[in-house]
Amino acid sequence: MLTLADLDAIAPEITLAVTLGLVLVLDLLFRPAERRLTGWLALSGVTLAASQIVKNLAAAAPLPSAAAGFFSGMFVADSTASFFKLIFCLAAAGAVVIGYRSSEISRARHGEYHFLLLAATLGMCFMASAGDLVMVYLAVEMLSQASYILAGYIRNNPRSSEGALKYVIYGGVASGAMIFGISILYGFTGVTDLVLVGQGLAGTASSPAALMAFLFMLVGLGFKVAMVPFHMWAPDVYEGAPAPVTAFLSIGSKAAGFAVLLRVLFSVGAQAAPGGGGIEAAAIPWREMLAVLAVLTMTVGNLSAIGQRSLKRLLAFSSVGHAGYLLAACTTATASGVSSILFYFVVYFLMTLGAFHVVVLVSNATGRDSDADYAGLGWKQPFLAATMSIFLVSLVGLPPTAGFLGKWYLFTALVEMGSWKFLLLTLAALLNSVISLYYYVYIIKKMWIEEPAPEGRRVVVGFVPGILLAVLAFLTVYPFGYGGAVLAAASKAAGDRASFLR
Amino acid sequence: MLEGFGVILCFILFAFAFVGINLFLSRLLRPSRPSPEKAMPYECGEDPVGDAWIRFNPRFYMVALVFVVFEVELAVILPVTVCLKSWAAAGHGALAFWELMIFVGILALGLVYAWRKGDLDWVRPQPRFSAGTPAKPVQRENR
Repeated sequence: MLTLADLDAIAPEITLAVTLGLVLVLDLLFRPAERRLTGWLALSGVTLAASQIVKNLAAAAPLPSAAAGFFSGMFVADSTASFFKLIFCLAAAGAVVIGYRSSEISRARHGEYHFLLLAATLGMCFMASAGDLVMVYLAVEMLSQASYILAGYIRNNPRSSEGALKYVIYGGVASGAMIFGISILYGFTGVTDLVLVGQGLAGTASSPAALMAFLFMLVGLGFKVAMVPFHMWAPDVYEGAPAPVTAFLSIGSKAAGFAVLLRVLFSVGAQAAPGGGGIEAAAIPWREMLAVLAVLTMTVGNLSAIGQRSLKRLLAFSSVGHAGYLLAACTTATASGVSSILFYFVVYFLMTLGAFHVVVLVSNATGRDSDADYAGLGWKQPFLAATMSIFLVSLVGLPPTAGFLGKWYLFTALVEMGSWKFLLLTLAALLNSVISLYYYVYIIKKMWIEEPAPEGRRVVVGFVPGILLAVLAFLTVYPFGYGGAVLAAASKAAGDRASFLR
Repeated sequence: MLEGFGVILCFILFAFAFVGINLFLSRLLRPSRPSPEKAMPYECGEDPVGDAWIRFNPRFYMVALVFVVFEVELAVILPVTVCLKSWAAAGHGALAFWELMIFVGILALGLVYAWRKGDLDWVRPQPRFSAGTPAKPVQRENR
């Protein structure tokens, strides 16, 4: 039965749903030139939702906790989910702001753009809170449908259509694989509640079918976080989609994927059933598998980024690389691992949004997306080039930037595990950071050392985008003012369990 | 646990066997007189002419999407009508009613949207692009 506590728990989602309905109505009422104004409504809706999330965050218990289940366990409002939801709200707000003046989104279609962004954000929130296999699937689909449309948003650009079509086809296959895995899990245990599935699995002996179910689930979730070998969509979609959408997908969609991955791993794995967690009892070597996939993901992502001429493609492969580092931290299954992932996403949001914002501004001026446009940018427009350099340096993870702090905590969580396997994983991640240095610095070199092209046009920054860039760059280059507070919030959200598998 | 899936395996095997045996039996019984009409791919009675890689009119999909609105409405309202009585007996009738109304309202919004955007007009006077200025094509490098 519905209770008031249930409604409190999904208050942010209700806010988002009402807002997206209003945006749709306003889009119908407004004239084409005015439709951009729905962005203000979208922004205020997201802000309201974020404030409700903060309220829930203060009250909620950390992951995974039976007390945090609502709607008969379908919806879990624990503090980890709430922290992820804050990141989704940040990503949505960022996409609204940097999409406001993007030339890739025509004015008449801004209403739909905001509507789809909010729908995707709603899907992400449900993903983070899904406590049931059916809910996991539905939420993933809700996000996917909105992302497919957003990816093909530039209607008369073949690249955009190509990216969207690839996204739909890969996404369809991945979600088919995932629901097949879900059906096997259901066949095993007769339940769909994640906690009960974990208990059901804990009662079984090791079985190849359980391993298969786990692998199929991993295909679906790996697709969302752009894990190798399911990353093939990322470069095409990121290149074809409008840059604000790309920023939104690379931050929000990835965070949502990790939110579900963590919940599935730790809810299924962490039950107090006799004999330990379900995953371990079913003898699924998930740690080893994830570790191998993590190393593959970061290496393939970083190596493929070398030699990319399109900035969006370069950032796409770089985001594949970052997914690798985050996957590595998933293998720890400790509270410090989870809190380092949460912290990393905040940092990742700052630097990725900043980098994509520069890409939006430059491609607004040039009408294309190529590294040639960045040649000599430092000489012509030092502010733009300086902020971009800060974001890129932070993406490498060099001190004193926020990216360094993020990576520091990720690697610390890995090293804390003590065993040589985790040290090896850390070493792989460190080596990969060195590889990534090459292609990020390549852009910096282009901006500051190469001569500007004679026919190059001046990039108009504008007042509000300038302020936003300056703020993002400052937060990125000087993370010490807020880093401690964010980290404290992240560790509070992750809880203090020594391991989620006990 | 794994044995539980044996039933499903039996189903799969039976499905394959059913098709295979029937095809084999009819092969034994039927006369074989192929003609061009018979060898043609079946296209609902139409002659398949030309390439399959043609542009289809997207309006069919629009109609299908609008149909989904009504379909979902039906699929969810029907079960509610079955259990509404027991809800009302438990004193939650109003709650169930308003929940349903909100749901129908959201779906109706979808219909209104399609209507307002002109997707229900089957005959259109002229090709209509999205209102306002069409987006300028973004030029990309040819690679």
